[in-house]
Amino acid sequence: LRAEIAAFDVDSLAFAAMSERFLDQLKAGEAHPAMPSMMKYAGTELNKRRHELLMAAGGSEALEWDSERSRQGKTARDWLRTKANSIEGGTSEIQLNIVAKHILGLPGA
Amino acid sequence: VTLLTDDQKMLRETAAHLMAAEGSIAKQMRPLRDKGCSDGFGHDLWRQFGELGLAGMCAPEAQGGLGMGATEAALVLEEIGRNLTPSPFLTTSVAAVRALDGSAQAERWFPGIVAGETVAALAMDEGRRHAPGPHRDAGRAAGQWFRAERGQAICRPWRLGGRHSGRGRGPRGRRGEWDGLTLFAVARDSTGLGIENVALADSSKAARLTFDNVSLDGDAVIGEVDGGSGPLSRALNAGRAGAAAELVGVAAGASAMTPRLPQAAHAIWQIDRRVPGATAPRRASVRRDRDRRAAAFKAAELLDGGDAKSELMVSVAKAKAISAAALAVQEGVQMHGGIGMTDEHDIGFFMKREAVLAESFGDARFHRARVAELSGY
Repeated sequence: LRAEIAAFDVDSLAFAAMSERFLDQLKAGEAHPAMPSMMKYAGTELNKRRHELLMAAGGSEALEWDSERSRQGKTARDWLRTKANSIEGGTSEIQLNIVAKHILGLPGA
Repeated sequence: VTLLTDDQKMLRETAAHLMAAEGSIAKQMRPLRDKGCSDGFGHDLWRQFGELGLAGMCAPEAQGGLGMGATEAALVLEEIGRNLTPSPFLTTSVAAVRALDGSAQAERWFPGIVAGETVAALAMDEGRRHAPGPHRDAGRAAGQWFRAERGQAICRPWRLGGRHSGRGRGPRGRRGEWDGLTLFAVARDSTGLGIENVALADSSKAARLTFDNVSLDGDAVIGEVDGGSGPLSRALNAGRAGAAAELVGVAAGASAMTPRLPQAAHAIWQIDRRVPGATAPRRASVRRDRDRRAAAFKAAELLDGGDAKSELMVSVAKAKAISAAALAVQEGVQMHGGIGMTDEHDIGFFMKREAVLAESFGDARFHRARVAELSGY
């Protein structure tokens, strides 16, 4: 689990660096048209992983649903909420589709 | 791997029919959750398990059971998983029966279990992670009496909660030693036993147990004093193999729900046709469906045969079933799109159930570590 969390941190910090660069490029008008989709895809999948790890680290306590101790099951409810991240605002499949079209130069891009 | 016998196929059909007809989400899980059932399972259905002989199927025939083993239990559990049927079957009929079998305690508890009236739970996790074995509290022997000093044990998912007559069994012994463990059968109305009913994400119930100077006499011992590791290992192996089988069912149920979506002319289907990548995960989960089922049944077969490799295969089955079921439920929710996030749709229940089952009797990390340990690296 420690190794998985470390791997997540690597990806998370890399994503933060990518976000910074993207914002600067956007301001300068140099951003690639596929970038917003890349950011959305990477960010939401990362957030889902974050909450999977929070559930794993929390073990059985993270599975509690109604108790005061668990703040009405906050960990579990937050985890389930993240599953919508890769659906709302264009699903991950749609984002990959957009990225693929731009990179491959397919019609409709 | 031996193929199923005719009797086993018949059992599977009985279980499939019962769970689809009486144990469905619409008949059990959803209404029980909506009315805030404190026990987390339907007592009428549990008595039906008793009438059909399922509740005591793993108990010896001489004691009212059917003398069946892990393979048969796996067949029933797969159907329970497929329908998300709330039931104390895994902890009571599989894990507890395996621990009690052959001990003096069997006489006392089997009749209730066989009839579908008694519910048993294994008090096994003291912390948030599954790490059974040597107990933090020293069980102190004083003549014929054993005292569980102040301490806490979490009785893992399910089923000591509620108001039914149940009982819990707690492993206790000296810290750091499997050898010093003694397993006790504790009635739920024992003085000093505190039970806090805990609702879990999948609407099942767990209980947090506190032992405050609970006095138990020698009769409460399952097996031998200091010999608790035997029955405890049997219960854990049976429970782990059973949880793996139930996960196989959960994954199958989620997968079965998922490809029906295109027929509903959902927008997702458009993506599925246009983007080759979108169909790849579905293929992956179908392939994994074969592995995980094979692993679960191989583990059950080795357990039934008393094979030395059974512990290794049980951990393989549990780890494999978790990763495959996680993929199936996550893919199921994602492929349903927004509707999968609503409470009206059932697909989300599979994700919740998968999370609870994955954690109980050890998560994938625990079992991978066990595979490494048992393989000697």
